[in-house]
Amino acid sequence: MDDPSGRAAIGRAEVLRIARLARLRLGDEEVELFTRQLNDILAHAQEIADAEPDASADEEPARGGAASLRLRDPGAEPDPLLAGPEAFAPAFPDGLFAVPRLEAMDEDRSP
Amino acid sequence: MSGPARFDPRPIGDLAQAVRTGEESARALAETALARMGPADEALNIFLASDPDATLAAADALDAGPGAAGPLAGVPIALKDNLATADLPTTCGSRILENFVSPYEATVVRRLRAAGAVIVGKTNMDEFAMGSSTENSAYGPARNPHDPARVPGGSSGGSAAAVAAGVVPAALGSETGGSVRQPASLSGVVGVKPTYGRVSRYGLVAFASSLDQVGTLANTVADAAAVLEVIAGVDPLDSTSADVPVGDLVGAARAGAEEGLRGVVIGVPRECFGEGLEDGVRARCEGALEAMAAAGAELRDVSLPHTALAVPTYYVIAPAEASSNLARYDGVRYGPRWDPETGLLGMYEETRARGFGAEVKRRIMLGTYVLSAGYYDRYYGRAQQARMRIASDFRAAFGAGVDAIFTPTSPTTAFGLGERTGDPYRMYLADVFTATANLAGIPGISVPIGFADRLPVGGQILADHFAEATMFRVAAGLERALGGGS
Repeated sequence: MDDPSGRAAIGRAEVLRIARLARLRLGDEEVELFTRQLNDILAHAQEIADAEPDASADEEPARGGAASLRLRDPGAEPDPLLAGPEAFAPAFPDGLFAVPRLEAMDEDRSP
Repeated sequence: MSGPARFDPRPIGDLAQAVRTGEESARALAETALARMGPADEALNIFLASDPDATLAAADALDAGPGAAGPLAGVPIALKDNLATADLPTTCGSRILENFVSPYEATVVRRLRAAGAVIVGKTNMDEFAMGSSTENSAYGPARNPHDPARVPGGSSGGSAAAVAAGVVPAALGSETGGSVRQPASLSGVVGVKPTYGRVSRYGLVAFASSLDQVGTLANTVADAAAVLEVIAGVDPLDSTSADVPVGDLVGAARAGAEEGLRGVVIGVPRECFGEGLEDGVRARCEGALEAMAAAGAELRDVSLPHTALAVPTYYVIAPAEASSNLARYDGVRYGPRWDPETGLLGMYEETRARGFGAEVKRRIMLGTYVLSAGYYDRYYGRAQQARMRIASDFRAAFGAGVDAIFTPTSPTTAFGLGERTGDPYRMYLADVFTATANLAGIPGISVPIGFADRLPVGGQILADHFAEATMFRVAAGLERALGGGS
């Protein structure tokens, strides 16, 4: 939501929405704390939003930006694991990497 | 200069040479490191994992081998706990990776071992490298060897403290916004952030992938160069590593120490010497500039006009990338799981709620927000533009004939434990002089330049992309001009 000055101001509902997107469960105290702190931090981030656009800055991207990334050489061999998957799998029946059953998934599948 | 004793007064190259010739044993060096680790760790909480038997076995294997070859033969080294090791846990200072052991090793770790280095332990750090004080570790804060009531800096605070306390002669850390240089400054050691792409990140747990880079910490510029020379270079397992020759970095440091700085042009950005700089830090920086001039350097005023945007830009881009990178920690693939049996989403949320600490949650929230619909252009898009401007500032300075740029590393000396934990943005300002190099992708090094109120002060040398040799030459010249080095 925006405040009357046109700047972003985050309220409790927005913090809870973001927490859901981020898959974080927050306690009441955390919601209160993060509401205050995120507003403080974003007030400083507004400095970059307020800065005048500079066309010359777009001429060449900084190294390290997404534009400079390249794909891994398709000929590169994968790094061999120090031990086979059976060494660190919770279980390895019939050559399959098995993880513990998740109670929650059973509930998700129930009608 | 005063402070805790070094691991050994000899340069790392001489230590390795002594091991190679049999004059010194790798076991004796490992035993020294292990003997110091216990008391230092008890006082400063700087190690998260170690296996003394494995360390001694590795040293014995070197001693028994057909000539302990390698430029780091027998040299004890500590690793930040976000570098994957197959024989020790890699927790990133987080509960969510408690007891996690990687099935493979980071390229930098393999290169260290291949060069004869002996790994002695994994060091404490801010959780997932998010912090400037090492107070955000799930395993308790690390402390500064110069004053245990103060922080060692962060996020590689454990690695910096391990070198400063004399447990090891060198350590690896990682940088995203200054996490090697800033703790080096606060702990009184040398810290290097290489050019983006100079060192493989394969096996470095990702925080913000367009910024992350592995760095070195040591007592001297030449020692930091010696370790970087071993870990640097293209890696087919990391597509972001660059195929650019590494060069003779130790030789460059030697040249700077022996030949001085005649013919070198040092840029001095006025934006880095304004408000917010502690008086003691300012005084030491002025002394460093005078020393470089006396060693033959030409000092030239330069402008980095967008320096003030570095912290807000960094604290939009880095959390945005972190919110994506840390989405993988959901209780399914790594570490512990907390399942309240309220559905799959409930399991994710509960695991992340209990597994992550407050700073990590704060940055995930911030990153998720700035990437969300309606706010992306306002924050993330503008931050990317600001990043380009910061990079343009450096391009202009180096394009105008400046060989290197000098700034303070940190605006303050080491602050007290708990002093800034209640005010996240105040903590973030610790990165004000370091984050620009990460955003621009250029290399930087922090060099001890003296003390203020008995606390170490670091000065920073920045150089152009892949100009590490120039950076080490200038840094060693500064170090020697101030009476340091070896």
